[in-house]
Amino acid sequence: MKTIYLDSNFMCHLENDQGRTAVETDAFDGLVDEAIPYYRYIPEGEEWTDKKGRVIHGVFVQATDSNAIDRATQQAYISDMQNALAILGVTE
Amino acid sequence: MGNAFITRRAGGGGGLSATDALLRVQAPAGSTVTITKGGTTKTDAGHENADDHTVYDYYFIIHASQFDGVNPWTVTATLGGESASDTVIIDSADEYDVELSFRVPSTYQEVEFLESTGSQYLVLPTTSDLIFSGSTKFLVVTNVNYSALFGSGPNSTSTTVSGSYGLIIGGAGTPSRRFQYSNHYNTNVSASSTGVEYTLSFSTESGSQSYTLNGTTYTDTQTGTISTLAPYLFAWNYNGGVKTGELPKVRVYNVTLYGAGGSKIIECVPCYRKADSVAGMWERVTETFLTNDGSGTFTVGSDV
Repeated sequence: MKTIYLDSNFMCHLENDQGRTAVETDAFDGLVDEAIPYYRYIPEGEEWTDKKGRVIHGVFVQATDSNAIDRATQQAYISDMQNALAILGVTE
Repeated sequence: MGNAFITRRAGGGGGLSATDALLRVQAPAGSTVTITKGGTTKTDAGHENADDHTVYDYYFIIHASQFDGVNPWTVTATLGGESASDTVIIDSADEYDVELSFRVPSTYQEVEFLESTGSQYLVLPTTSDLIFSGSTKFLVVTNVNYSALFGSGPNSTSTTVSGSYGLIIGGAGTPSRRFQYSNHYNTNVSASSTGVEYTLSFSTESGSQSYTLNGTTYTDTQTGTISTLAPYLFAWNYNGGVKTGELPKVRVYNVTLYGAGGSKIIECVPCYRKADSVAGMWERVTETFLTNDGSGTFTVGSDV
């Protein structure tokens, strides 16, 4: 379960800011935090109108930039691996 | 984004002025494309190569007097009795894109992929035909031991018994990734890497397994029989049940399965239902919308 912060377009953020709404969800469990800002999350009971004029109903989770998500995920794995090697005393 | 799109905008060809909007509709070649709003209708039709299944760009100029930030244009493509439609709001002198395909009904929105988070799966339609071949494109998001992309078998606990078939993508077991057919599976296939797109095709029709993954082909002896128990997608069908701890975290772009002689049994297209935004797979052979039989919610990719 993670706490995310949604802006007016239901895009996800890791930090709170003016106008954002805090939401707890398990939709991103197992996902690296760096990838979360590339998702749109519409909670149950909420609605959002897209640029086509179509109403999207929650619960709805959409990856808005899968390439960015994949890059963020890979980078996080590499960082984890480097940290693990550093703990073992292995350096470049 | 093709050069023709940019050139036409910059050059102002076709009567386009700086105060106009340009709408590009991508639809199968040969379609008749119509856009309507209120009492206004514009049509673009014809174009060659109707039989080669290519996608063609259809252009429409929307003048400033027709800009409307509330009411959308309805965009419809028709070809050979099939049709697809979508809507777009045009409210400024900008460039707009709408893509239409006939792979899902117009009441559904096709998306790039469907992604599970480890608790969702689909029950594919029951078929009287045995599955002999197929293809799929997928990406493992996070490794889950013993997880299956799809599969089915008569045993409630084991995937390696006679009558089973499917694709294991999880990172434990021997081997860690395998295509199971009856009581045989490939023994030389390495584990799935996370974050890598895999294109898989397989065939068992020639008397041996042929399993091609991103251009590398593996073969194995095919013996025994398989059942007609319908496979699950995003899970293994353990004789009507699933193991919740073995559901994958995987992104699926497409799945097509064939019976004897190459007859198509199942073709899944990722999408969501426009009326309620429920995500699932549109199964084209039975024309059925398959939704989550597990818990939680599928994540969808971008609109196609």
